[in-house]
Amino acid sequence: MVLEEFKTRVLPVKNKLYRFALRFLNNEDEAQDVVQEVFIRAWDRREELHLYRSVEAWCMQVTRNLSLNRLKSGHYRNTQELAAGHEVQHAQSPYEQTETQDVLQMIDQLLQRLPQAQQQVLQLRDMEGYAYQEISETLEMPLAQVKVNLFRARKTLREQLTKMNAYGIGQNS
Amino acid sequence: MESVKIRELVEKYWEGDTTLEEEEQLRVYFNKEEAPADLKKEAVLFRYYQSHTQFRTLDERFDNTLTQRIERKEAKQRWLTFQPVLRIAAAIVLVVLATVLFKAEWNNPATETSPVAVEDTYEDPRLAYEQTKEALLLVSSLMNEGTQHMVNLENFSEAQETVKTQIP
Repeated sequence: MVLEEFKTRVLPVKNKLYRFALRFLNNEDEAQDVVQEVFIRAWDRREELHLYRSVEAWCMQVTRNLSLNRLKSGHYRNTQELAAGHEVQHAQSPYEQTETQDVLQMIDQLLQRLPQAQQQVLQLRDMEGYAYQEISETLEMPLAQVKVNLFRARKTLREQLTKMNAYGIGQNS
Repeated sequence: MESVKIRELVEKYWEGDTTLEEEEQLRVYFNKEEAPADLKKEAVLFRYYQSHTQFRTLDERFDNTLTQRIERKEAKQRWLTFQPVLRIAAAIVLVVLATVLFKAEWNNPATETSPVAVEDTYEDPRLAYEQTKEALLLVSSLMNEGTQHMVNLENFSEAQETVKTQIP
C-alpha cells in the first residue's frame, strides 16, 4: 500500500479515533499523539491490513490500548480543557448562543461524571453510530455488558437532564 | 415527522431499545426541527451529540505531520535496505583494487625497490665544479643582501637603547 492509498483508505477514520482517545485522556494534545501513533502502527502493518475484518475496528482497539497505557503511565496531561470547542450552527441570537454553549458544556460535564465504561459505550453508540457488536469488539466487552452500560448511561443522563429542565436550564435551546 | 412517532422513538431510546436506524431518525429530527416543549431535553442532548462529532476533529496540520513522519520513516527504511548493497559494493571495489595493485607489483618488482637514479648533466668534472661554485656564490650574495637590512635594524636598536639610558 502506498502513502496516497493509505491516506484515502485509512486516514479518514482519524476523527473517530481522536474523539475516542479524547474520551480517555481529556486532553487534545495527548489524544492527537495517540492517534498519530495508531496511524504509524497501521502504516507499519499496511501489507497485512486487508487481513483484518475491519481496519476501523482495529484502529479503534489500538487507540483504546494506547490511551489506557498513557493513563497507566501517569505521564499524561489531563487539563480538563475540553469544555470549550462546542459551537452551534443554528441561527440564534448571541444570548441564545451563549446559553446553548453553556448547556452543551453542562452535558459534557454530566457525561464526564459517568463511569468510564458507560461513557465509552455511549460515545460509540450515540455519537459515532456503532452497532452493539462493533462496540463489543472495540471495547473487548461482552455484548450484554455493552447493552447494560448503554442503558445505565442513558438513564443517568435522562435523570440529570430532567433535573436541569426542572430548574429551567436549557429552556431556550 | 409526526410528534407521536417521535415520542415513541424517544421512549424506546431511553429504554435502550432503538435500532441504529431509529436513532438516526431521532438525530435528523432534533437537528432540523424545533422540538416541542416536552422534548427539550432530548433536543439538547442530540444537539450535543451533533456538535461533539462536528467540532472535535483533526485538521490538515495533523495530516501533514503524519505524512512527514511516514516519509522520514520510509527514507530511513530505504537507506537501511540499501546499506548492505553499498557494503558489498565497497568490498568488491577494495578486492579489485588490491588485485590490480598486487598484479602490478608481481609483474614489475624492480620499479619500486630500485634507488632513485641520478643522471649526470656534465661530462667534464671541472666544468661541473665551476657551475656549482657559481651557483653557491649567487646564493651567498643573496643572503648577504638580506643581512644588510639586519645592520640597519641593529643601528635602530642601539639608538633606542641610548635614549632609554640617557633619559631618566
